[in-house]
Amino acid sequence: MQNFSRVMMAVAVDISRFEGVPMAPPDPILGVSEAFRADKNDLKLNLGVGAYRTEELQPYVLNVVKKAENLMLEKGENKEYLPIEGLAAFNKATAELLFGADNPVIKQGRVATLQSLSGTGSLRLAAAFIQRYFPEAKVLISSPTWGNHKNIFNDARVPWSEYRYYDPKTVGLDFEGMIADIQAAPDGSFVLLHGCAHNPTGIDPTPEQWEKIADVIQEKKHMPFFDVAYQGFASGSLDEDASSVRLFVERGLEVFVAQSYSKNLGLYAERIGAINVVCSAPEVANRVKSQLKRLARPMYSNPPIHGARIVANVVGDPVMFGEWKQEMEEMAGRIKNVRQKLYDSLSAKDKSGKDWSFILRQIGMFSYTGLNKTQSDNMTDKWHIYMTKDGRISLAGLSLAKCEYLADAIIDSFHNIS
Amino acid sequence: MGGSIKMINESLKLAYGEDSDLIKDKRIAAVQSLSGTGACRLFADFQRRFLPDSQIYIPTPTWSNHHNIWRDAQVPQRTFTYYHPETRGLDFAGLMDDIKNAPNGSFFLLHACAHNPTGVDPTEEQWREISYQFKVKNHFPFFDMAYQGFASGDPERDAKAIRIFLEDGHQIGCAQSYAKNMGLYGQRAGCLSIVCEDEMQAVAVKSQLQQIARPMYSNPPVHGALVVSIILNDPELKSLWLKEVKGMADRIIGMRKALKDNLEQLGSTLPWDHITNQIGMFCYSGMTPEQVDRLTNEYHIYMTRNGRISMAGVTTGNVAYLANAIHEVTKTK
Repeated sequence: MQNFSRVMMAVAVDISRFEGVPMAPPDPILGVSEAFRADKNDLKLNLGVGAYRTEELQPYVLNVVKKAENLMLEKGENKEYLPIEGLAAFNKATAELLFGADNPVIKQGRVATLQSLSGTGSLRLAAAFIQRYFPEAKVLISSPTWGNHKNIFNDARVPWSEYRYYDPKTVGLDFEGMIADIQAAPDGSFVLLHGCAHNPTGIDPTPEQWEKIADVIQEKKHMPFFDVAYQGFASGSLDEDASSVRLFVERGLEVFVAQSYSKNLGLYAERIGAINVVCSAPEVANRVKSQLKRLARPMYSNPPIHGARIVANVVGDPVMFGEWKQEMEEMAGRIKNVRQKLYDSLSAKDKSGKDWSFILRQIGMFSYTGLNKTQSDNMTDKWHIYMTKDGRISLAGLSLAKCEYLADAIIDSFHNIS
Repeated sequence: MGGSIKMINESLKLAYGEDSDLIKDKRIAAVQSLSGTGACRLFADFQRRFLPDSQIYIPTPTWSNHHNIWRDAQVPQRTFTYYHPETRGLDFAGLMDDIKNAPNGSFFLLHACAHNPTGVDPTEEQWREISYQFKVKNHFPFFDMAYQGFASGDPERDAKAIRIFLEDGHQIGCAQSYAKNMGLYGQRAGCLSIVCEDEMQAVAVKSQLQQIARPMYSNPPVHGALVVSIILNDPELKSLWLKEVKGMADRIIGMRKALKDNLEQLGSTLPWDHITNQIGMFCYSGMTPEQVDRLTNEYHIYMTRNGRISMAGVTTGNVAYLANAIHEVTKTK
């Protein structure tokens, strides 16, 4: 038998198959962190990061998570595949956490829950489901919104348009614009809502405003689609942060909800979350669940076990659940403290009389400062403060010790740069 | 978004060889993936986006999820001849015909070792002929390697097909999974790699793979990747792993022999060489769906109706029972 490996064939191919593959643009958030790392200045501050940091500006693994992991190691459970829909104990715990264990939708078996790859993965599964079963429908997303929302719907080939949300004049919610745009959309559109702690603005509707939003969604027969990435992290209370979702569910509406444990349990890289679909009847939920599974299987087959087990252990054990609530209150509390201190510093130092109280009205990890791109550049170039160009700062990356410095920088950028 | 660098580097060494020039020259675009499924899906989506006129040739039969993956990625599929039912082996002539008849520059999905579901692998010489023909036709080889180390017990040996193609200068794609060979099933640990012209192109291709991953799951899960990278980066742990994976492979190989021996001892007149000729987790027994149904209904033995037996479920404790049941449903009166 000839040894073909020695024959070097001259093949008429000069051009690489991948000739047409361009370099992808750098990630807007990652680029910030990279630039921060390269900066040698002692005063530098990274406020681009959407990850919680301690007062010492270190990443934080929750004590209750370490406890759960030790427990898991002791138990020595195997690493067999989860079913496509994920860990049953996790799915039960996560739906109960979101809707409340006594919620009729849970008792009636009307919720289709699939463990998925954190918030992104949950959103993507839902988007793929929308593309397949609602091919004429459009998703309405807030202006602005988390950058990856658009990528998700684009890659899932679901058309989207924006509804007004942020009002730069008030650095608050453009409520009338929001309602008008939701009203104007074709009936049966999917409306993507941030359950709490809107990213990137930190501006949430009031309970009264949520009622009116629900009114118009109901009237237009839109499908509410919640992204809940900060339950517990916004106000410090798990139940309070879920109130917008529960309001819609109470009205008897069918609702999509994407959940993530990246921030509230600090499980970022474990990729743990869930997509929940509240349906009109258990039989509907079963069908929806079966189709979500069919979408997940050719994406990743079944979801990763580690994060799911941590959540199931923490949420399922009353003692650990209590400890978690405690740690979450501390994390949310630290954010509230730096928010307050930043506001106090700005008010004290800014002699112009500008009203900075919008900072106190915002909630969650982020604050929209109202700074424009040039002003944000000044923050970086002159003050070595790294943030995103839309004026968003991550309070999770701010310590009490740095608040005054930050206030100086913001005042300078706002008043001296246009 | 690309995952654990350490895990990726070690994965490339496993697949491409410790001393691979491709690795030295940084010509491989590689990202951590959600096990083998995720690697295949990333590649399929990459094909759709950057090679929109391409299609994928998939062997008959194959792991059923392959069809779902390329279908959901909206890449057109074709099949190529693979399994020969009469011999329960490889239909090599049919395979070579299909390779020759496919349009130049077609994309082919190849199982690097331990073909799923048949357990039928080409011989080394057959792989060389396949590689040669691929060169003539300028086909793109995409290897799904889900069982490296698990097939023969030797990871180097199980990567032989890939090495042959690399020697011949093919620029391959490869999906790797640690589900079986490290038993990390539910951790979803794997790697997708694509060989490029040069370092710059590899950087560009990797950046695009990350762009595809980002709206799917943002970044891959850390836990399984950490386990893999710790094991492979530590000489003692790696050595322990090599022993353990060989142990797993040897047990399966032992069960194959035992099953065949038992059937022969029972006096079965049917040929059962394929049980030991086939390799990896699965044995394509050649039983009909009706025979499989009898195994289930009369003997409480569960397997897929295509006659595929997962040898991993066979033990010294049950092999005699299994052999007896198979003999009973297959013997001619």
